[in-house]
Amino acid sequence: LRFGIFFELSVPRPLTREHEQLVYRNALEQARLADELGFDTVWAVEHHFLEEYSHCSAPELFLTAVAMQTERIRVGHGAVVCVPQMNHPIRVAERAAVLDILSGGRLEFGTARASTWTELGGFGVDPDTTKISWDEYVHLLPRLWTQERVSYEGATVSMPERAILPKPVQEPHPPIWVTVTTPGTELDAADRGIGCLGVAAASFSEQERRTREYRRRIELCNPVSSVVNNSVTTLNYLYCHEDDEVATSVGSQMMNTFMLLNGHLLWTREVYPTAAYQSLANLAPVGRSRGTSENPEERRPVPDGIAVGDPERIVKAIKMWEEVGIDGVNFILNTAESIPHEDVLASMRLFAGEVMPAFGRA
Amino acid sequence: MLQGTADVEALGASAPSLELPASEALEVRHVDLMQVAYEVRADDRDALLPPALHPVNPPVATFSFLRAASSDHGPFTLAEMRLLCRSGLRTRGYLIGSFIDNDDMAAALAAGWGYRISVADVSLERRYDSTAGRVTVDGREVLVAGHVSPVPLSPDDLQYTATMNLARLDRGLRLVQVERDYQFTRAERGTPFVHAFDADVWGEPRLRLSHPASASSAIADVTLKPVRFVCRPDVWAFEGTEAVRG
Repeated sequence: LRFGIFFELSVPRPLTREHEQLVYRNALEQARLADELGFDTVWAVEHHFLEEYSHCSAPELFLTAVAMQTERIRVGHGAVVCVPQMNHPIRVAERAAVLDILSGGRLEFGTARASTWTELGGFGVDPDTTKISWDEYVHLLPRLWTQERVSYEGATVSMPERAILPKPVQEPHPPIWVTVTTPGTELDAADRGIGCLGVAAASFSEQERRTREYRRRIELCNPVSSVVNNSVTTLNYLYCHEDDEVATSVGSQMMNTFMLLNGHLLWTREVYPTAAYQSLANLAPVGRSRGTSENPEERRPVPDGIAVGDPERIVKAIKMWEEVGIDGVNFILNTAESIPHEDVLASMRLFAGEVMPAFGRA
Repeated sequence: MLQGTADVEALGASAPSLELPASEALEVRHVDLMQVAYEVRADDRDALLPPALHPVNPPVATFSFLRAASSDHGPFTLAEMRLLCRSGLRTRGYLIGSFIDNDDMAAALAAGWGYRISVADVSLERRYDSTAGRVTVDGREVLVAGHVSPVPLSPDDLQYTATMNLARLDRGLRLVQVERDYQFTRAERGTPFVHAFDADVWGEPRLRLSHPASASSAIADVTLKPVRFVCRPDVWAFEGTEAVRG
């Protein structure tokens, strides 16, 4: 099982420049520590205009800084928004190749199409076209990274023959993923032979169903390049503390903050009726909902499967995900700095010391 | 996190009184619907909503029309203006104001569901290539909104959200959660326009339209459900939500 950390770079109010700088500084230190502790990947989202929820609008720069300050950990776009008004595919290919060079071949390349009206409307994107442009990008990018010269005529982008420079370090190119928010995207991923970067709420049974279907379907895939990335990851929270009650109290506060900030995003579906966005793509990870039982354990405000608790509890939670058949878990470490930075670092250390060994990780 | 900052008592000055929230549904069949969503300037985003509700980014107003050829109170055309928001984590629209061309239905909506509503000339006209709604008060158009160039949608693609109406109940000022059930038989989306809008007359002079988002129209059977929940306007929905009965 691979472990990653996942940054939204959410900023607490008031939204001052100082707070933004603090969030970036803290995230860089957490990435350096993750590198030392043996985490596998640092992921960073791409979002625009999402006040408080995510100030990570130039992830390629943040990830470059991470790459230059770390030795081993992989850096992941989680994910590049594949619509021409936001990122032209040529610029995407160029930036990714440079990041792969600067990181020494450590890039993981996630793709997405944005879910909020805030972002799509802000860039004047027609929501009906984003699935089309995403599909074009995932087919075109491997060619831009591997072929000496490329020309392309498509529905959302076209280009005359040009040499796209430089080429990435990894042969033939960095692993490609797609963020999975709405049900069904896992099938799109499987059909194209790319990885499922889970970022949405899914129960154990739902994740198991999606993973099973993905594995079955990817066997029959028509891959977008010469390599298939048969991988599924899920998103989780992480707050690890020796005292389970402390962990629960602190971790549930972080979860609630994340869910509120996420729940208040303006989803495309709410404003713009279209078949292209069928659901409100809430990104908050969840487990089994809690009841109102008289048993205090069952009233615990952290659902099963969430990595918030003492090490023993977290091992148990992650084992449940492992049994579902996924390949990796990516963790949100903090939300809007609701947990003091030093406590986040301590949580990461405890996780590495007490939880990772249970999964064969020294 | 974003939260409304409006003075609740000031907002409530023009709120209707509601002795007993509706316990029976109100059904209207084969109605024409139209909704225009328009971004509004964010300057007063927080000040437009009571503390119970959370603004969305960017703030979006919806203008919606409902035309019924018949109902228990006769034919009517209703126009509503709402500001999209959140109640807790739920997606909602906060009612800024509404107009209707039927006195009996106006009284029923105010008395049962807490509509802040006035009688005016309201119309909704569907044509082959456009749909337009109009509200005329004292001979002056205070809203002309609609869409052109419609394209068909699947009825499943439409999602109209519940409304929070501020009203004065026995227990004090409350946001009344107004839920509708829609059985769509036809749906389409068009390019939106607003040719006239008088924010003063609608009751919120700080609302300034900034950018069109979308417009849709539909034919549907609509059920205005009995009121299940009300919410204190001064605290978050997590704390202030109250069941109406039982």
